[in-house]
Amino acid sequence: MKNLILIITLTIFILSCGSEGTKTGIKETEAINVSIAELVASPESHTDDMVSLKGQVTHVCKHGGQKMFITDESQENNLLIRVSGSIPEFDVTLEGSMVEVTGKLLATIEASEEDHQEVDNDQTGTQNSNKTEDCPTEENLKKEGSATSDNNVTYHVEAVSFKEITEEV
Amino acid sequence: MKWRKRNRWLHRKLGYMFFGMAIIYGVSGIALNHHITRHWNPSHIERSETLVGIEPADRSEAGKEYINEIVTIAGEKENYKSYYFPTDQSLMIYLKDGHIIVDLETGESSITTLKNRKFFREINFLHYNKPKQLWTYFSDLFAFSLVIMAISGLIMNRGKKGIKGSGIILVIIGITIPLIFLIIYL
Repeated sequence: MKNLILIITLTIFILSCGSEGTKTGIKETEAINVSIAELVASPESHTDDMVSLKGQVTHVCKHGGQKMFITDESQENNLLIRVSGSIPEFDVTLEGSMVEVTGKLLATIEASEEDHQEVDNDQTGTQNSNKTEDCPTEENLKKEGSATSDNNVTYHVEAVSFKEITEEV
Repeated sequence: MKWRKRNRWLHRKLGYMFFGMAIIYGVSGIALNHHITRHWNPSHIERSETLVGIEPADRSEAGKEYINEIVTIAGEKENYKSYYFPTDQSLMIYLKDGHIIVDLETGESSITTLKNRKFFREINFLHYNKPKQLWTYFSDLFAFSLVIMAISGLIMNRGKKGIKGSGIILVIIGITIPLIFLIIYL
């Protein structure tokens, strides 16, 4: 019985003492206020910057809620937002809401179409066979003005925090 | 023998300690299996139905009046949030618990309601390690304890009831089945 009490006490202690300061260590206060249009137009100039931006959520990935797309007032500029270690998920009820997101703009080198094709042909399983199958709207939105540049580089914001803002759209 | 007594003690204590975790991971594991095979979405309940009586419109005409008309027909006026044009031919109207998609060329529309699936959403949230951070360590501890429990269970009993008896046959079956699947499908 004493051992059991000891184990429970130790578990509670570990859980309580580690819950602070786990928000990735990135300084949110240094975030630069930018518009989605600005980021989409010249993402290179803000790569690895901590940015803060507002937009309307147009899509939340329903297979895990680990990414969402936001758009600006013109509805022509879209940006992919991914969760970081400090955000568990984006809830699907965020779709259609205005949000303010703070996070780091990251560049990713995408595999070419041919490379994707090769990967798809190699895989016969249902889970990883096709990126589009996982999140159909994502590929569609990527084509519709998401931040990209030459050399198959795409950009997304890795959100460290976000909040829903009550603003009429 | 003394070590066997200790082994039994450890197996029992870990079993009690991680009973809740075993249920969480076991039940959500079944949900995850069926999620991968696309039988259902374990985290959300999604329902779609066709809306009738929506007139076609050009994108330029599809303003607030048009949207108001659609949400009134759908009976979702109170739940309206915002709208978005995914393409020039389609309109997405966001509601509190779902959305309406309108084909502007034909007027064909459907309403989808989306709600979180209670209980499964919560256990999947944990199984997918969405809390991250400290949950990672606790679930690692659980996983490690499972290995300990598997080994301690293996050597718990002696004689015919133990690993030297019928136990070895079951162990071989339990290892062979996943191996067969790997050989066939990998």
